[in-house]
Amino acid sequence: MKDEKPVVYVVDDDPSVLKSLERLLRSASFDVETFSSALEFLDFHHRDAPGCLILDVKMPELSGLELQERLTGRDIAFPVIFITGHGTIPMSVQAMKAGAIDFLQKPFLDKDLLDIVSRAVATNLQEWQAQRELRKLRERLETLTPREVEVLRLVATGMLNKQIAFDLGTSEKTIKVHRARVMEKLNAASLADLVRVADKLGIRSSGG
Amino acid sequence: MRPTNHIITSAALLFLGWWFLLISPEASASAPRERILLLFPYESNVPGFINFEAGFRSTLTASKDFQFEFYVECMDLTRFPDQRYHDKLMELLREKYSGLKIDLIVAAMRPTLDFLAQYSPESFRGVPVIAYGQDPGLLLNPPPVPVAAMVTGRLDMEGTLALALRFHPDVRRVFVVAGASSYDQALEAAAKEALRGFENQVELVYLTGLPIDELIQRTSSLPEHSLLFYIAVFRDGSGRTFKSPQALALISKQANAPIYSLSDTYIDSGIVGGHLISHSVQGAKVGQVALRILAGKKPGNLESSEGSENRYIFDARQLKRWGVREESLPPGSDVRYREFSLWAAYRWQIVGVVSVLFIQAFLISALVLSLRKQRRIDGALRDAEAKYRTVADFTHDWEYWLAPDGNPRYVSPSCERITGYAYREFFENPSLFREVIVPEDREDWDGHDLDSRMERCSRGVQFRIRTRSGNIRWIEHMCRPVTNERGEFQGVRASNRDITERKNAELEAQLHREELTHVTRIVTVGELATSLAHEINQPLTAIRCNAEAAQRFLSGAAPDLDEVRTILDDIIQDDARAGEVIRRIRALVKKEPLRREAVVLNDAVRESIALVRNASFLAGLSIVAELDTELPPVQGDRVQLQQVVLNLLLNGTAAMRDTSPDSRKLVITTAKQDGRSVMVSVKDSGTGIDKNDMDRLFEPFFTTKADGLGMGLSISRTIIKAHGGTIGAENNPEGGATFYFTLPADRGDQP
Repeated sequence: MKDEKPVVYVVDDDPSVLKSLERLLRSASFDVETFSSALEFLDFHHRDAPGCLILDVKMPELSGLELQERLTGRDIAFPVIFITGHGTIPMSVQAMKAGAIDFLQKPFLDKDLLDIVSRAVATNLQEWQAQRELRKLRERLETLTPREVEVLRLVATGMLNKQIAFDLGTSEKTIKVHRARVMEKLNAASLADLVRVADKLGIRSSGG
Repeated sequence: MRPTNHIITSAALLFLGWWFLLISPEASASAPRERILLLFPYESNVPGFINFEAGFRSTLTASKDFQFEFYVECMDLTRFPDQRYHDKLMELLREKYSGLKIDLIVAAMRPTLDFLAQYSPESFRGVPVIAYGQDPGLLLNPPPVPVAAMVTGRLDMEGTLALALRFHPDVRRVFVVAGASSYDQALEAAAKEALRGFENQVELVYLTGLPIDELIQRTSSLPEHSLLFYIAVFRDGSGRTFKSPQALALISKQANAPIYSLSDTYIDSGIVGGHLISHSVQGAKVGQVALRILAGKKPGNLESSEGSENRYIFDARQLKRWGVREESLPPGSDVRYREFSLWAAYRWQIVGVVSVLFIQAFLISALVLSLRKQRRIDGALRDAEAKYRTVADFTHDWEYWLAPDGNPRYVSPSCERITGYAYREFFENPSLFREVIVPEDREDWDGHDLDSRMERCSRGVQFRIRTRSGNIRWIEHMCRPVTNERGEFQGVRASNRDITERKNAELEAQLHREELTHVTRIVTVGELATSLAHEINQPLTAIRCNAEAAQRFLSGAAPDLDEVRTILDDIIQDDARAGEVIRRIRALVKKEPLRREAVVLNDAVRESIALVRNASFLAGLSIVAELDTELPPVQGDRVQLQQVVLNLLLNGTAAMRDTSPDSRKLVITTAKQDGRSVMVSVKDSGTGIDKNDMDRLFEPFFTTKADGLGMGLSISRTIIKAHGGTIGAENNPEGGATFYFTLPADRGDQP
């Protein structure tokens, strides 16, 4: 499993600020993508890579906060860092509620920004990795037959093969075969491993 | 010359006087001397005799042939009829005239003739005697002594009574009055004889010889239709003697009937009149006879039976009293004591004198009236003069009137209050009007002065003067050409008002206005604070990031120096950008005196937009500038004009708070207007202006914003007005409002 290099996205309508931010981030070895407007950012085809989003609050046409709302709608889950020239408390509250991880007043210390960005990127990397694992598990889950999914669900509830066979009206031996196939398909080494995967995938018995 | 003339005249008169003195005695000495003796039987001062003697003497003395000596003897024979007195008197006369040669004797009246006849003294023998009597009936004919001539008058008793009865036709009784003396008796006898013819016409009653008191009593109570005929009373019944007119006067005073008589001596003693004998005429007649006798001529008797020498004489007062009309008098009557006798006698003279007097009086009154009128006019003129002088002299302002030649015709005393110079000094030195003006303002004044003289139209100008004490005062000068009723130029009437206080107040107000404008501007800048912070933050942020980036790049193993160079260029640019923002703010906040310069409005608009753009934290706001590229510059203060633009932009922004972000749009337009002015308008898409607020928009402290001061638009209007422009607002048909202002275009002909 290979980690993608994180990307920092910067959206600011002021070209000189945008350019200086890009340089600063690049000097800290981040990959940087810059956009002079929110719409431009929305049109961009994102790589499947972890990253974070630096947004200027006040921009013509579409403000940073509005962009944040739209991204939530699109399930693009980058951590968002707001920068603003004249932030207000209501504005920052709104931004934080919507999931922003920080709200920086211009001018800010480069260290502050870089720290926040690093943290954001790190957080996002983990999330991105978890997401990627889950995605893989789901892909595997797709390979299971409906009978195997049923067996998995019942196994995750902690039922014995005998009980599962009884429930499904089949033999214990058959259940064993299904179970082995499930474990193989889901790449689970042990029963505990299988239960954890089932947990991640959100497969739970609806209760005995 | 005059004294010489005077001396000559005096000398001539002296000579003439001396000559007469020499001549007269010589002439009189040559004439024969005649001695005349006048014998009169009564007392000396009987009026009839006095008149007689006067007529006689004046006739004689009128003759140059003789010189006369007159001797008069009033012998008083009738009052003293005693024989012994007569004897002694004759003896006395003989003795008296024994040494004199009498040349002529005039013996008046019958008693005298009788006296002469009785004694006929030797001394008078051979002396011619002229016998005189009032009436032929009163002298004996032939006379008792030989006479040279007899001269008589005539007492016209019949004529007089006939006349009286004609005047009083209803008279029934005639009372004839006579005294008790022998002469009275003689006269009465003559009257009885003469009046006999009237007996069948009237009743004749003779009141003869009565005592005077009884006579008065009788004549005062006469029956009706009576008439008194007065003959003579020399002695009354009681023996009292009278001068006959005297007695008549006593009677007539109380008589109740008209009295007629015979002699002119009775006129004025109460008689109406009659055909009267005149004693002076008789005297003159005797005088002429005497002259003829003395000249040796035959005298001849002169008797008058017709009474032709008698005259109709009347007393006007009595005529009036008894109702006798003057028209009924015989022609040629002499009416005396007429009330208008002077009028009758001197009618034309009186008319003349009165006319002259009247004309004189008229002229005098006309003169007096004219004088009074003149005085009244003078008075009115003086009053008017005083009134208008008071009006002029008590003015507060410095009033004056310059003649066309530039010399003052009037300067009000108030000039001293304003200039410190007395009005006389302006008369003495007319150029003082210009000299008091401070040198800097004299050019303005000269221009005005020339205009007012040449163009002759009213104008105003303001200038400063230096007073006598060296103070500076502001003067507002107004003047008008003066023309008379013929439209001729009479100079310039001017009024100088001391407006120093007003001017100071104006200056102070302007200072306040500038102060307020400045404060408002700072408030505006305050409103822009966030925007300005942003404006500065942006470049600062960029600088910081760039600098950090550069540092990191440089600390790397193989720094990209080109990149670092680019970064440094950007830093410089951003710094410049921040500097520009600060410059703009300082330009707005700085307190500078008002300047007048050519302002390119488009620049001011662009800069204002730059300031506001980021201040408009209204999402979706777009600011569109539609600027006329050929907009002429305007004259004014750039900062203040930008303040107005800024105000309008902020105003428009504020108006769109409740507008949906998609339609928030400000359009700012500059445009030329008819070549003379430029217009700047800011159109918003806000809520528009409430109709009720439209009028108050530009009033101070009017605001619809919760946090507004209400000074922005008010100050904007003040600024635009000070620049000679107009400011206004109107609602757009499609919604929102447009605020605009116009300013006169700078035509470039002013510095």
